[in-house]
Amino acid sequence: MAKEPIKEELLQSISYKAPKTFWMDTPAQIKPGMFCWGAKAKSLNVVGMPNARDWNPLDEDWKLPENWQEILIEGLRERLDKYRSLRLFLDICVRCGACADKCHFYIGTGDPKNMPVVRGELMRSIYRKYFTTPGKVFGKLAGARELDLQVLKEWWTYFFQCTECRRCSVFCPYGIDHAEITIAGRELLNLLGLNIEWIQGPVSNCYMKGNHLGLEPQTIVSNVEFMVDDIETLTGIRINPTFNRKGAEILFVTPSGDLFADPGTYTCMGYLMLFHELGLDYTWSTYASEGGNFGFFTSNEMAKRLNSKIYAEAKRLGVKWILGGECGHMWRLVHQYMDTWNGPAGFLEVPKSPITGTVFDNAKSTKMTHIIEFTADLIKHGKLKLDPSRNDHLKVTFHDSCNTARGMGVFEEPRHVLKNICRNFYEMPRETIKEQTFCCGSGSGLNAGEDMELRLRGGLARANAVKYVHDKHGVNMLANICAIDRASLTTSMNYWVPGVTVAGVHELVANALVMTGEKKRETDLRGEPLPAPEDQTSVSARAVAQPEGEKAGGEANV
Amino acid sequence: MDLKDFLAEKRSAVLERWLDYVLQTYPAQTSKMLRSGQNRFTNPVGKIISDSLGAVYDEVVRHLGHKGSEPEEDSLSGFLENIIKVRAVQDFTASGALGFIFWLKKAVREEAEKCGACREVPFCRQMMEFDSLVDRLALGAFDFFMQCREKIYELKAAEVRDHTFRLLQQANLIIEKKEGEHGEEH
Repeated sequence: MAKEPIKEELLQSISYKAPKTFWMDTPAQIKPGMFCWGAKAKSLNVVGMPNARDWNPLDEDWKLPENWQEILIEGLRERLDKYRSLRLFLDICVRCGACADKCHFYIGTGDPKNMPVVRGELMRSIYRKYFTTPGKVFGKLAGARELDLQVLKEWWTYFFQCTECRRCSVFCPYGIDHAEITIAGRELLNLLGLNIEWIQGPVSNCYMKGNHLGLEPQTIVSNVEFMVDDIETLTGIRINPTFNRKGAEILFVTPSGDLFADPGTYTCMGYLMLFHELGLDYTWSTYASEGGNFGFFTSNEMAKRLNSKIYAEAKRLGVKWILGGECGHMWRLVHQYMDTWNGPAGFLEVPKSPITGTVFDNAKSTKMTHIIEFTADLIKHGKLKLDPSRNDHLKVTFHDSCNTARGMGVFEEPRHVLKNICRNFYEMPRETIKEQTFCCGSGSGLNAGEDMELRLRGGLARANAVKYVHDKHGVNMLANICAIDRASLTTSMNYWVPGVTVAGVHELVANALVMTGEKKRETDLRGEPLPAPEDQTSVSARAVAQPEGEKAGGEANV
Repeated sequence: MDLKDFLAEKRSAVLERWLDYVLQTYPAQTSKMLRSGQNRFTNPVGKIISDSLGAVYDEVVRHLGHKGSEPEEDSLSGFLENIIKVRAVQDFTASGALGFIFWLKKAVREEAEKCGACREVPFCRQMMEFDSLVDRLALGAFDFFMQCREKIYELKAAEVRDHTFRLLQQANLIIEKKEGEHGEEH
């Protein structure tokens, strides 16, 4: 007679309890939905990256060079010598845990290795083992460990589960910037050809064609002309933008996502309409046709190489200064790196608005100004005729992009613009905006399709705050000034907060912009009917745009 | 003792047990973090879990002994939607994501055993009804879990379409547009 199963044994075999092993003894699991495919040899070869080969993260054998440990250790040594900040960040962390629950990936995944402090330990443990005496002598007791294949796979897994958003750094009492550790980690992985294709493909395209998708000049022109047709249908006004025009006053550079992917295309129509109305002497470039820079998610050197085309094109065209579109990481680069990489751009002039005469001293060195600063200045000086009632069908909130907020301190300009172009603006709670903003969950080159589950987990914290204003105030539009946000938050909202759509601020600017000689507008830029006049007047007053958390004892703190 | 009265009286103790079981599915450090503080914005997952369990518990109690409960069937699992939406994208198998619903039975029985209530005949009879309510809850939750998973695949497909929509439109390769899609004439 067959042995009857023992109830206790059966029950024990089904356990949903999480493993309790020490983090060093818990190997990383590479699971579908949580990683991006490895960089292809052809994409790496285009820019001369080392150890190019086709490889599959799910395979046991990653086809590593024989001396990969040596390459990695020497690479780390070189960077420790080169970047004092990296050595400092590896040395001074006391593991207080202040950063632990601040990471959107940790909040969403619950995986302890997504705590910034533990992600830092992945590299710190190797640093201790090979570069510090206590680590060499006491090993694991001193938090050190050997660099083996398991560690390498762990690095790859978790350095590509960080969007370099720097929210953790806001809360670190020592000011440790864990994004710097991720950046260094990715640089080291790149020495072994271990990039992801979602980053390396755009890097290679950008190097060859000037933009992430590899759009050729004629495609860029025809994309813009397509938008010009749409604008004519909407407003009755024909716009004639110029491309690669020498002698223009301003060169306009925007992320290429605005040229071909909805909803960025509506933002791009917004730029075109605004510039036309101002009569701005500007030109597009089909060569410097990408504001974004995925080289930054590869290595410092690669970011510098890709960035250099902007100044080179400005010089070739003989413009006076550069205006940049709505983008996130592009602005962190412009603000914090561009000047030391490829500047100073002595051949350019300090940006000066030809409409208001305002001189943008903050861009004195880079000579490049963010369009949101430019537009906020126009509105402040009353230079735009605006009809905010055209946005009355929208209840708007604003997502601060990590890079423009924490990377360059742009907090008030987008809010000033929004409060003047729409009458229903509601802030999300204070803990989730401005310098404390939560990442969209897809930045730093992680906005691929194959890592959708990672992105949804990472986007949970941001979406949760949007859901709050959606439920409370009926917010149905999430405005932002970043191309990756426009693409990725659309998906995130679809899952977490259906009923909320996503737009660049300049799409809403264009909705409200009363253009000279325009016909009566029937729809907004997306073809949605505008609210009827009686609906418009029913909006009694502009909603008060206070962050929820700023009200004492506000609901944000429940 | 009447089960409904028991559940009302022992609400916080049962919920505490149930929450413990749910949090044990996360690593120890994470479980501690999820339990700490109830700021819905800085600890959204912890807040969603504890709020959802509380709301479901109250709803189950409300349904107990309510004969005409069929029309409200949907509302029962509706209270679980927030927590399932989260667990549907987290690192769980389907059974791992939803198993916690059945642990409500375990939590109630353990608490009842502690005070001897479970030895009373009417209580036991009512427990059968309670069990069947939890089973109904689990079935509704499974449907919603599947909707979440299907949504994730839909989103992947939608991104591929939207990334290239304008290019395809220009090349006259879009021959049909479904309602609600981007790219209407404008």
